[in-house]
Order: sequence, then structure tokens, then C-alpha cells
Amino acid sequence: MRILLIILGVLWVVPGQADGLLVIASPQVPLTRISAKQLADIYMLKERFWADQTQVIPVNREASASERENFSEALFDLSPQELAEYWNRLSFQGKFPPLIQTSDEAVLGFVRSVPGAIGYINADQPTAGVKVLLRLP
Amino acid sequence: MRYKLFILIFSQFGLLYSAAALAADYELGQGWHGGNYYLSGYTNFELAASFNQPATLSMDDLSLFAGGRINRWVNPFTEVEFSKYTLIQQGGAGTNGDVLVERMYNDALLSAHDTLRTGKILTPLGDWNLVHAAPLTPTITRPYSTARGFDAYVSGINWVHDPEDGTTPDWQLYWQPDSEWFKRPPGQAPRNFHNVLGGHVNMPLGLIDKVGASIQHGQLVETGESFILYGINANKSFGGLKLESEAITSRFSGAVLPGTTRYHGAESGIFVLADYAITAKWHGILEGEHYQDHTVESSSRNILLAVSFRPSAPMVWKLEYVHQAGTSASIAPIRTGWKAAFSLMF
Repeated sequence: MRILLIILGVLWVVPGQADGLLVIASPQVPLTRISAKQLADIYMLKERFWADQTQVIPVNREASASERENFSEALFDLSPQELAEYWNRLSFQGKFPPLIQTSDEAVLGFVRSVPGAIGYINADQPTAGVKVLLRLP
Repeated sequence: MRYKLFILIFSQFGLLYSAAALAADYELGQGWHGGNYYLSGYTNFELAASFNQPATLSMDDLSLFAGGRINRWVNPFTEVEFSKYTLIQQGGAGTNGDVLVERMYNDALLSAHDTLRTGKILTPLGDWNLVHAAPLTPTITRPYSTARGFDAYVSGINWVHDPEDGTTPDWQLYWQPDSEWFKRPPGQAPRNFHNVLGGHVNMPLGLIDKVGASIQHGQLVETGESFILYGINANKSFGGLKLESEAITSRFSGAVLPGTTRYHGAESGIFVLADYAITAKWHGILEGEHYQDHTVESSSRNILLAVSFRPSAPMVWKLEYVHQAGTSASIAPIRTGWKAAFSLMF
């Protein structure tokens, strides 16, 4: 019983992250919502322009990030490695794979300041200065 | 030549290292992105021990890509490589390597689904020719059917139409009005082409699965012949099993230049490759090819058995055994023997 209480106590004090990811975009992006299909097309480099002809600039997290793994599985049902292999093939054909940012803060800063940028962050992060287009589980 | 190699290695790795050091977001295999610019590349080391041939360890490729996304009309891309450099060869000798401009073009984005590509490009013919970097190919040995019978590099214009909805075919048209820019040396380009016109249509069937068809018309510089080529290609996955195949056939016409021989009026080839994922990192591969060159009397008939280990997406180790039951070409030979390779994208 004492051990259980200790474990519960430790879990209580460890700061937790809200479940899920928020898909965020630059304030200039001409959308208020995005479907999972549209989002998948963007990260598969199939959608190059927003409706106002601004170039779409997808942002990804680094390969080791749990956020990237969750994002890949929620959206594509593929592992980060399978997606990396896909992007490597496209990269060899001269297409830019999604840009990498290594923290929620970096993603927020990039998306906030680069027109056409879209990315994802943990759901407990503040979203001032960006548009929230979708919440992923 | 050796000093050129070191200059190239140091300049490429130095550039990458300094760029990577400056960018906290550098990740192996995904290049370096600095604002609107992009830098990446790959390297491939190969150990070959063919029957009746000296064993050779070579740096098959050290390749650097640089690209920019400036605006809608200006999106340059270039690939420069140092290729076929012998590090050690049984009995000495070997090759000193060549510096090649593989690609140099600009993309103008005409619409959401149309791109006008101008410059030197990889010919959109089949699948292997478009994605032939060693870290991305299943085997070390490249089948003849994916390169030998056609103009693999086009210098001119290329219109790329890609609906990108995953259900409608994409297609490309290209035209090379003259000959290849930054011509490759004879040891690496057994044939040269001019006045080349062609097209490729591709139907996506999944993430990498596809079926495609190609056509190319042109003239061979070395023999003076005209040719028209038809090709098909297919990739299909069944769980952990991936099947891949390409087939081409060409008809040659016109008188040949003195000193050249046309043994056959047609040139054709087909390969079929099965790649089975034993685990996420280990793959077993079986491939067979039949290729009849129109300038060689008998055909190449080879079978290949390989195993590959990919600890992460940008890195792969390969080991393969090839058995050649027919006649190998003298340039880019496919001979009986063992090969091993390590390839890395950076």
C-alpha cells in the first residue's frame, strides 16, 4: 500500500502533457480547419500551395521525438522510418522534405513567423499568434 | 587525382559539418535546411570480388545535392558527384574517379500541379532511373534494363504534371534538342544520345506502389542509329513483400556508322525483383534479369541473391551474390561474384 502511495505521489508531481497534438498554421494561412486527408497530403508533399497561392511549408519534429511518432501514427498509420524512407526518395527527386524543428517552442516560433508554415505541437502549449486547424488524438 | 578526391571530400564534409553545426535541426539523412536553401547528399562504398577479376574496394559515389526554394519561378537544384574511385585493388591499379555534374536544373511551378523543369535531369523512364542513389536502391547491382538501353540523362526541358491526388495518373514529357550537358566520360557513359524526345506516365497505387509506362525516341551518337523505346514498370507491396519490375524494348533503324555492328534489330530486357522484410531492418532480396543488347551477340542472364541491413532510414549495409549465365557488357559489367556495400544519406 505504501509503495502504491509513493508511485501515485510521484505520478502526481511529474508534470504531464495534455493528450494529443494541435495542428497549427501561420496566421496568414487561408483556412480555419483542415481535414486529416488534407493534412496527410501536405506532409506527403502532394499539396504545394494554399488557396491564396502561398507555398505550403510543412514542419516536422526530429526523428527521435515522441510527438513525431504520435503524429506519424495518427495521420498515416506508418512508422517514422517508413515516412523517412518515402521523404528520402522525394528528396532525391528534388522535393523538399518537411523542415525540422526540435521543440514545441521552435515549431511555434517558426510557424508564427513564416507565411505558409504548418506544424504540430503538444496540446498543452499556448497557441498565441498561430491558427489551430486540427486536434489529433 | 587523389588530391582532387581529398579536396572534394573535405569541401563536402566541411560544408556539411559547418552547416550542420550551425543548424540545431540537422538530422542525418534529411539534409540541412537554411531558410530557402537545402543541402544534402549520399556516399556509397563498395567491395567487389568478381570471378576472375581483382577484388576492389572503391568509393562508388560521393554525391552532394544543393537546392533552393526562392520563389514560384526560381527553384534551382544541382547534384555533383565524385564517382568510381578505387581505394584498394588487388594487384594495384584501379580507377582515379570522375567528378560529374549529374543534374542541374530549375523548377518553375506553373500551377499547383504543373512544373516546367529546365536543365540536365534524370530521365523519367521507369522507376529506378529516377531514384538510383545507393542508399535508396534495394541492390548494389543495377539491372541493365534500368539504364543501358536509353538516354538516362536528358538536357533540355521537362514538363511534369502531377495531380497529386493519389488516384489520377501523373505524367512527364521531355525534349533534349542536342546532346548531354556536362557529358560523362566514356568509362561511365557507354552510349551518348541526341535529339531525344519522350514521355512517361505513372499511376500511383499506394505510398510507393505504382505502375508506369514510358516511350523514348532518339539517336545514338556512337552508331548513328535511330531508336524508339517502349517501357513498363511496376512496384507492388504485399505486407512485407515488395515486388518490382521494369521491362524495355527498342527498335533500331537506319544505317550504322563504319566500325559498328548491329547484331539485332531490337534491344530488350526485363528484371523482376522480390524484396522481403524479414524484420524491420533485415531484408532478403532475389532478382533475375534477361537483357539482350543489340550490339552484343548473346544476352546477359543474371540472377542475384542479396541481404540488406538498414539500422536507420538513411543507412544501409548490403551483401549480394550475382551469377551471370550469359554475357556481361564491358562497361558497367554484371559479372559472377560477390559484392558488399555501405551507403549513407547525409
